[in-house]
Amino acid sequence: TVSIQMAGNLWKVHVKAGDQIEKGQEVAILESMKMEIPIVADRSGIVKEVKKKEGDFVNEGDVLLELSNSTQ
Amino acid sequence: MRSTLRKDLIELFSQAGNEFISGQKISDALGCSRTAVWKHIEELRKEGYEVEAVRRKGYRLIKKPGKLSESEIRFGLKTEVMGQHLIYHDVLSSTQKTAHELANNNAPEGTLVVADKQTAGRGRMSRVWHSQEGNGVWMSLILRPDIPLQKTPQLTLLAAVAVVQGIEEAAGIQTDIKWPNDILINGKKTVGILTEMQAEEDRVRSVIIGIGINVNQQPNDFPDELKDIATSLSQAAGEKIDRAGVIQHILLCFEKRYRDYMTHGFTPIKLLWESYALGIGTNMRARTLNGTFYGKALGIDDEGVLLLETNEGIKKIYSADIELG
Repeated sequence: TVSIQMAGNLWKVHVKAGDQIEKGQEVAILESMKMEIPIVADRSGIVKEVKKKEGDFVNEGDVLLELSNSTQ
Repeated sequence: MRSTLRKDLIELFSQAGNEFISGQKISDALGCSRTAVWKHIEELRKEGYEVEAVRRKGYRLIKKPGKLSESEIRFGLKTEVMGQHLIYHDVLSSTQKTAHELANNNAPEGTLVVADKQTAGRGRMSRVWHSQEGNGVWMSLILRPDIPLQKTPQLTLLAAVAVVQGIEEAAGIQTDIKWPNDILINGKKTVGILTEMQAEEDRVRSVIIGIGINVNQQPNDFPDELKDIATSLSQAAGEKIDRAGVIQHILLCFEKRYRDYMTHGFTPIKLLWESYALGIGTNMRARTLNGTFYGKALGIDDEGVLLLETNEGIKKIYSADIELG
């Protein structure tokens, strides 16, 4: 999985189910305190499910992406 | 070398005030030939300085350029780090964009990008920021703080505090902060701050703080849609304000507050922020993507999150447009 490191509003999600993502890739942007905070994947894999949608309020530790075949 | 000489030359002129200084005196003071003095004066003229030359008397500085230039920003800058690596352009698409590119190419902490005009100045959420030439300060500062990702929003509050203090020192004008980092004069927007970051997983690679300041705009300089909601330092002061001075004072205040923050953490910044903030202790409306909340603003927490006391208890506001009253 790819999790969210801090609370805020999910502004943009760059990936969808089926996408191959790479470790270090920016997968979404969070908005908090009027800052745009990139969410960067800490592992590679194929997106099985996007658990949050744009506009959602998210908390630190929430899961953003379920991955299959994930590798660190 | 060259810019040190120019800096000394301008300081000589500044000290002399209205008096002439002979070419010989200048060449002695700078330790260069009179031909070199003449060349440096020619370069100052090209940058818009008006230097009067009178036979047997020497030179005197009549007018500094109203135009921004690298020299204008550098001379009199008293910081150690902030702005010392300085990139100035008359025109850029966006200082923020250039700063991102520089940050990707290992630009050091304190690197400052300034433009006299932005052709594609932008604010938060890709909103347009109106940034015509000649009147404003459009700049982006690169930081490389060794702090966890979650702490970076504190830097946007720190920037707001530094801008309020810098404006007060440079222009004698008191401004207010509206959560988290809008800066207002009499309720009208004067400064916008856009903080962005580059991250690697859970690490901060760089934080880029974009600051746009309306300095010398008169009401007619703003497009119609901004006329009622924007103002400038000059309108508040009733006189023209030196833009280089504004930049220098903000950078110096920023450097001091940043040092406080790195040494003592967020508490001293939080206290200053609350002292400059509008509406703490009064009712306000926060429009968020998930609804509008109304209540008394209690202040901010240690993460900078706005605490609103509503009928349903204390609501933490991470992202909202705020309406006072």
